[in-house]
Amino acid sequence: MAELIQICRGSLLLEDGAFYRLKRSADVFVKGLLIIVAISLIVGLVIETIGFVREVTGPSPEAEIQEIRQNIRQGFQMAESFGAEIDPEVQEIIETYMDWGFGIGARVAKVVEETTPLPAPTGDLFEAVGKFVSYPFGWMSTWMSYGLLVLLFAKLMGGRATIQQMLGTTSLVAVPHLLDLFNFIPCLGVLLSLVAFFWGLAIYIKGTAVANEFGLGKATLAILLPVIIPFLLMVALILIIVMMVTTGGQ
Amino acid sequence: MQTIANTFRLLIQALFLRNEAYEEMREAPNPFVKGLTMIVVVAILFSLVGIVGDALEWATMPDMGKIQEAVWGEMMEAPWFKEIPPADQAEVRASMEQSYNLSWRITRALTPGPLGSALGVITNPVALVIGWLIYGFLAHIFARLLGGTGTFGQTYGTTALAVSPRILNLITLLPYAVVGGVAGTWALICNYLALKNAHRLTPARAFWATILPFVTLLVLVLLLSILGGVIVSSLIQGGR
Repeated sequence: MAELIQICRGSLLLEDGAFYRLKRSADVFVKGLLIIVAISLIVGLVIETIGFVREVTGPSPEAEIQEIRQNIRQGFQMAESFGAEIDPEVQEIIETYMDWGFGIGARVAKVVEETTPLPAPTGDLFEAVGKFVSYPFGWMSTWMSYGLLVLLFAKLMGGRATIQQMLGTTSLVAVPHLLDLFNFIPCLGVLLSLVAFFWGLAIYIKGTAVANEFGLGKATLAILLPVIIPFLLMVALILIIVMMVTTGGQ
Repeated sequence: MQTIANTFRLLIQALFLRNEAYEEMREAPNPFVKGLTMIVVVAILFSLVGIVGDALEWATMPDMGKIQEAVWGEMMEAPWFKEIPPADQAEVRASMEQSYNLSWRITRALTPGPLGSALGVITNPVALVIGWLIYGFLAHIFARLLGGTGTFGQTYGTTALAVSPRILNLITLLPYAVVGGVAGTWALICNYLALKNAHRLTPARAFWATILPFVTLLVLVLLLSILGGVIVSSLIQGGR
């Protein structure tokens, strides 16, 4: 475990040694898998706990409806203060339909409360736990499917990685994504996610280069090609359709 | 008991992409039977576990029929519905009710329930075995065409190890837990290692042997749908 933490720390500093140590280890795939699972579980735990607390301590459906209704009315008033006067008849229609929609919402909320066998907090807890344990699978899916595509292009460019080595070394991409823990903070969360993305990208390039025993340029190309090729194909398809439509009419 | 423990050891090793597992299966005395048993056991196991998770999830869900009734009642009170001339209301109501009930029938079919997942104990093993038999047959043909040396039994035995990512489905013991597409991608990697080891293929040839069965099936499905479309349209035209 200590070795894995050291490798993760080294990868953050883009140290060659960290990537080579992981690549040469006997169970490179299992170690990569452990990194992905551990980090996604840490991030998932924080995000789902916050979500669960918000859900349980949040306002009742009635209070939420009242708040939305008030916000819409404030919107009308604000529009009027800016000189964009709304026709009273239109305003009445909007309010009538709004009340009708909220009526459905309130009725459904009542039915949900009356007919659900287990009490609402238990359901919320089940959902939070379910989402938390499912967190690693989403990360693993992206890691594996994109890794396979990159490996395919890397092989075409003379790469020498095995599947296990490729997936193992690129798993380090998850390490900077620990910053996703702060996703719940407005503005700062997005900014930190952006930092994590570019930091992760640098690690991914390094991991691909080390696994395939080629330079950073080729590694970057191998990583970008799975995005560039479908994009170019789509552009070509759109161009063909546009050309067919424009020439077909003549 | 030892056989069960051995089977699970092999499955875990295959899941962790260890070549030894595929080699061991290749050299097993009867890889086809071993593979078949493995698939059936894993499928039954994760289906049984799924019943528990789905039952718990179902217990946190409201009565869909009551919601359907409540929403329908509110829709009939909609301001726009009242603006329809009374003479046309019955007709509009009937056509709306038809599509409304259909959408609810689809929703109910997609909602998890213990009864639906209990059916999975039979359908999941059958579906997995059929998929394995078809894939194994095509993969063996392509592997041999690409210079592979494995036998039919070895192909089936090693590709059966691709069922190992389904072990992840055991997590569905917990309600709302979803494995998603990762099991499919992982199984693809397992199939690649299976064909590479069973047939002693180079990485490039093993890649094609893994992919070509899917391409063949896709082409077959496309051809069959086109053929089906032609037959249906000719029947319709012939009836006129």
